[in-house]
Amino acid sequence: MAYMLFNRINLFRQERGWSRKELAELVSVNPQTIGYLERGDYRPTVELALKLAQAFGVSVETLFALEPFPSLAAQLDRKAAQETRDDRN
Amino acid sequence: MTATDTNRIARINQSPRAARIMGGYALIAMHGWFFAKLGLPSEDGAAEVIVGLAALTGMITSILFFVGTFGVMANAPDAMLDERELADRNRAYFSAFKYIVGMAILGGVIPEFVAKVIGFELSVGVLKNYIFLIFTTALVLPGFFLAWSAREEA
Repeated sequence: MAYMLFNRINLFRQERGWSRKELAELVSVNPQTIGYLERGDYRPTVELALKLAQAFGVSVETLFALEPFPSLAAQLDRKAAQETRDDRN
Repeated sequence: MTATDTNRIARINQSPRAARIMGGYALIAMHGWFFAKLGLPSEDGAAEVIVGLAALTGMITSILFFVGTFGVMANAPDAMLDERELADRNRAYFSAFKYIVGMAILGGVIPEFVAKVIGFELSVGVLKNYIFLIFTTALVLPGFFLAWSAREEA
């Protein structure tokens, strides 16, 4: 059965201010392949996933997931709720 | 292809759209030429010229397509492609293989069967044309499938 693979490559790349070409050079692929990965049109091999995670300095699980990543707003919301709870205790 | 390898290979740069049009024209012209020639009475002057022109332009387009971006990518050494391009190429070759096998069955097995059953045999000329059609199709088809699966980058 085909499964979806979600990733945060675009988010991490934008955060670091890298172009697709720069990231592609870091992981030795064609810049178009970065576009395919970001759109979810191509599922990388373990080797490429590890290279990408290494390039960003994060774990593979931070970069790829089988479930959709929570939105930034939901994450901030959760963090704020956690901080409020901590302040009360 | 990885960025450094891309510049090393001499080729005609094509967008996926241009490659689709070019490959499509080459395939239609060559198939059209074969089928028109099949039904054409010999020594039919004007029609013969038109069909001949279709074959000529189809052949030239096939060669141009072959030395274009997707033709080169379909035949580039593995080391020059990244894993996604290799996966795409494998898919394209498998699709082309299925089509060529279909053509071989259609042109090789079925006429033989028909010849045995009703005693009708294709001429050597027709079979020569058919082999030429298979050749040009095999030249263009893998790259054509690659061009269809490629996306236009913004």
